[in-house]
Amino acid sequence: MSRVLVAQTVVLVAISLAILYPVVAYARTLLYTEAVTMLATSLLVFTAGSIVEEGLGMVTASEGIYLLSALCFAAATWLFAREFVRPGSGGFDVDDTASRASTGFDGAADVDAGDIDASKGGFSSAPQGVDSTTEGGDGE
Amino acid sequence: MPSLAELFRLGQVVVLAATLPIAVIAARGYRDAPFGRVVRPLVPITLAYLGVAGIKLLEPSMGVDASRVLGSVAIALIAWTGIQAIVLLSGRRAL
Repeated sequence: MSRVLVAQTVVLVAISLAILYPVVAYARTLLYTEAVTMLATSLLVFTAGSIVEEGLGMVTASEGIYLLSALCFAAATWLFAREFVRPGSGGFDVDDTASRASTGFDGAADVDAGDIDASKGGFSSAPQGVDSTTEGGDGE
Repeated sequence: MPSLAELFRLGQVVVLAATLPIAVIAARGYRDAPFGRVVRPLVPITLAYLGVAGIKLLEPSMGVDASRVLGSVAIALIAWTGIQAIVLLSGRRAL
């Protein structure tokens, strides 16, 4: 395995872990844990494909792994976007998206997030303000 | 008769092409929200990966260089997404 491939792999794994960090550190305040985890999974699978392609020289297997990575990425994107997709609506509902966008974490009730209140923008029991993004900032 | 690798590449193009409008919907849905900074890069990331898969499928001769450039762009954008998520959720950016 070349040094370039090792460096590339280390960077990819590090970025994957960086994406997973919010899921671990802010599990109570982050509602899209599934989506973020799926995004990190996509990158880890991509890393595996890169190792198989450049390290082992198995082109066909690597393309299959890249396809799996693309499917994981598609799933992550869908998990982010599903709040805004309504079957049969025929397009964007401008008023609805504007109100949702004002919070950014709306639709939390659909996610298994315990006591998280969707009306507060998806942040658990947090007052609106600078510290509302952190669990520790809400005085709990 | 296309090879299995070509079929896998075709599958990547189909999946990523289907992902692109979904990424646009997510980015548009969160366009005015703080979380929009996390979701917005999904569109260029999808485009970059779609470019990589498309070039490898249609122009394999320029696939190595193009996939390295576009792949690096996509990975940089994914890293940016992770940073934005950490900054937002850690409270370093005011809502």
